[in-house]
Parts: sequence; C-alpha cells; structure tokens
Amino acid sequence: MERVLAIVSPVFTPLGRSLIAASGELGRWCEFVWQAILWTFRPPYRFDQFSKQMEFVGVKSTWIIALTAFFTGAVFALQSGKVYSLFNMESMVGATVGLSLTREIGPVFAAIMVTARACSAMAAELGTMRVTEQIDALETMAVNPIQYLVVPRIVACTVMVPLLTMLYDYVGVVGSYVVGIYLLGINEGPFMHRLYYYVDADDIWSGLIKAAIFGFLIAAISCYMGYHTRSGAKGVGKATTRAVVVSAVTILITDYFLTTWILEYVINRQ
Amino acid sequence: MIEIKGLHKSFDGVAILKGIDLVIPKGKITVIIGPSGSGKTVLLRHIIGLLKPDKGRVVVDGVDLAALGSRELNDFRRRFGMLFQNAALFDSLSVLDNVAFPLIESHRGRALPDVERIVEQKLALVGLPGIGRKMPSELSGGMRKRVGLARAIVLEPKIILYDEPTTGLDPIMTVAIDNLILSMQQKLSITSVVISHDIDSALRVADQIAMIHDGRIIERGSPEEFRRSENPAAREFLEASGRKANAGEVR
Repeated sequence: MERVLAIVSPVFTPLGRSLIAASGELGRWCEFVWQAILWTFRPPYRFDQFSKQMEFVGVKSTWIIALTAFFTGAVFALQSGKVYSLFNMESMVGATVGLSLTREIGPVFAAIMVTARACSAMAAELGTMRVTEQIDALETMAVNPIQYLVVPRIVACTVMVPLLTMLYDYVGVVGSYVVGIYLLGINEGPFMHRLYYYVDADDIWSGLIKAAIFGFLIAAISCYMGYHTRSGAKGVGKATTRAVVVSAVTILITDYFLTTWILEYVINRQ
Repeated sequence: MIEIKGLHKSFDGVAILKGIDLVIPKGKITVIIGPSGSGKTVLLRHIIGLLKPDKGRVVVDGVDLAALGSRELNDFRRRFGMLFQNAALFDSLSVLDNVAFPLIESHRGRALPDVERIVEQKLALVGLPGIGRKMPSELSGGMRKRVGLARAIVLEPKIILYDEPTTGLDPIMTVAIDNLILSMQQKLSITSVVISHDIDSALRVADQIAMIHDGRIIERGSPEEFRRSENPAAREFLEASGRKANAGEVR
C-alpha cells in the first residue's frame, strides 16, 4: 500500500492541490458576484457611473466592433461562396453568414473584442486602484467599493455587449453582401431572399441572450481579478493577463453549453 | 476614545499581531512606532474596520467594530478620516473632486453644501490654496500627502488616522507635515493616531507614544517617558535615531 502511495502521490497531490485551489477561487468568485448582485439593487444608484461605463464599454468599442464584423462577414462569404459554387448554391451564402453571425459569431466575437478592449482595462484599473490603496480609501470614506466600482462595470457590459452584438450582426451581413454581390457575382435577389427566409427573430434573440450572459461573465471575471490584485505592478500585469485568458476561455466553454440549451429549448421547440 | 483589547491577526498562518492592548485617549495625538513589518499598518486597518481581528476587540467610543454589520460599519466610518501612506488619491479625479468626494458621498439624497468653498477652505488649511484644478499626477509627494490630508478632514471627523505621513519626504516637508498634524489637533480637537517609524517626528508631535514590536506593544508613555525607557528594543530605536543624527554631524 505504501509503495502504491509513493508512486501515486507525486502525481495526485499537486493535482488535488490545484483542484482545491481552483474550487476555492470559484467559491470566492461566486461570493463576489453575489455581493455585486446585492449591491446592484441597494441605493444610492450612481447613474453617472453607469453611463460613464456604458460609454467606455459600448460607445468606444463601436469602431473596433464594426471593423472586425465587416471583415468577419466578408471572409465568411468568400469561403462559403467558394464551397457553395461547387454545388451551384451561391445564393445560400447570405443565409449561411446570417445564421452563423446571429447565432454564434456575433455574440462570441463581440464578447471577445470587449474582453480585449474594455475588460482588460477594467482589470488593470481596479488592480492599480487596489495596489495604490485607492479601494481601501473608498472604504474608509464609507463608500462600498463593490457598489461604486464593480456594479457599474458589470451592468454596463451586460447591457452593452448585446447592443454591440446587434451591430456586429448587421455590419457582418453588410460585409458578406459586399463580397457576395460585388466580388463573387451572386444575384442580389436570391441572396437577400434566402437571408430573410432562413434567419428568424429567434436566431437573433438567442444570440442576444448569449451576448448578455457573456457580458455579465466577462465583466464579473475581470473585475474579480482586478479587485483581488496583490504584489504591486507585477500583480497588476498578472491580473490583467488572467482576466483576458479566463474571460476568453469562459466565453467559449459557456457558448457550448448555452448553444446546447438554446438548440434544445428555444429553436427545436418550434 | 479607542480601546484595543487582546488583538490577534494572522495572514496565511503567520501571526502579525499577537495580543495588542492599547488605549488611545480622546482629543490627543497617539503615535504608534515600530520597525518596518512590525504590524503597525495592520493595527491601523483594524482601528478603521478594514480588517477583522482573528481574536480580540476594537472599541471606538464604546462601539465594538466587530459587532457592526457592513452598512452600520460604513456609516460608522464617517467618524474617521484617514491619510494613507501614498495619499491614495483617485488618479482619474482632479484635486477638487478628490477632496470633495467624501462630502458629495455623505450628502447623497440631500442638498449639497457649497462644495467648492469648503474644498478651498480645507486646501488652504493644508497650505495648498488654489490647486483644485490640478490632477494628482501633477503634484509632488508632499503635496499629494497634504491633499490626502485635506480629503481626510473635509467631513471634520472626530478621529484621524495617519499611515506613515512623513515616509519618503525631505526633512523640511517632514516638519511641515508634523506641524500640520499638530495644527489639525489644536484647531479641530480631534483624536489623532499616527503610524510611523520616524522617532524624531514621533517625539515632536505625540502626546502618547506606543511602540509595537513583534506584534505586541512593548512600551507606552509620554515622549518624555519614552525617552527614558529601559526597554532594550525602545532604547535601540532611540539610539539608532541618535546615531543617524550624529552621523550627519561627524560627516
């Protein structure tokens, strides 16, 4: 028995330790999110902070979202057009791009772009505030830092990521239209007809629900990482990197489970 | 009055405070000195309720901080002003907005007083009139500390906590900050708790000096009593300070 333990423990001890550490971290994150939810509904309501964050997350991300959406739709149209041309079905390009954008690419890419542009900044800003004692200063001034700093960021992301997803869907379809009609020479009538025929309101809604959930998660993760920063400038860098990596991975993993749920209960029910 | 009774605190299994007992009298300046890493800042954070003790109590004006809920503790903190080691000014706000911040937050839902006049008055009190439009990044270390002090006194608190107020400052600025601490106490009759390892500064401003060493209070008394202390750690601290002063003369 001792011999077995001697062989097994070098492998399983670190594994067990990291599992315990990970579950501890998850527990602390859940507590943090719960606090943020509670403080969302407690006065005072800081509308100036909400609008400031909405501008930062939403308005200031508009151009980068539009740019990436246009080229995503364009390249998708180019690739699918080449494949469909083998079967003489080029008119399906609009519908294919429309469905992919509204259901998957729009919410996922919009959330990833917001993670890269806004959530990384959130983690760095909160991290710097933590290591320079600005968060402690807020507490000493009888201001709850979760309510003042975290709640507006989470609310802003939850509201703005779906709006940016709508923009992403629209501009992406424009990109596919430009490439499909003017570059691949697809007939406009069938292109638009298929797009209208296959893309339903439910496809758009399901994407927007996903986007709101992604927005909530990436803001909650990034704020958590920044809020619990330690060890000076190095800690701020580490927290920012972790915020981006964990948010991106969370978006992709959550997307799979949300898609399973949406396909089962929203789209297949019809 | 602040009473600290049997205060214990550990971080990751390492004991930082090992049973602190201290009474901080009302309306006086108490300086808590000790070497770096002795637990001074941890003690200060317990006094304002930023940390919860593992064991023991902090009682402020008869109220046990551990017995307060988060909302009550938040309200209770309005009695305090705190000057942080690096001032902890909000980078994104101007000096005016930084100093006005506690005032605006404490008046949420109520009519605001003349914020600009009050802020200018407090800035004048710390010797920095007319700098309200500047950003914290445009200020020197000493100016930042004085703006931090203006922010700490804007609500006219009953207790002010100073975390290493003279660390990193030149001797002239150190004396200026000491004078500010004294004048705040004289003008506003507030209870001041100063955390420092600057013994000269402590002897200049304190009504009471308490020395913390290895997580315990090892010496306590007036500056005169402290000078005559027989405690080896206190003597070492005093002699090191004397050597520092003499080194300059010899050189």
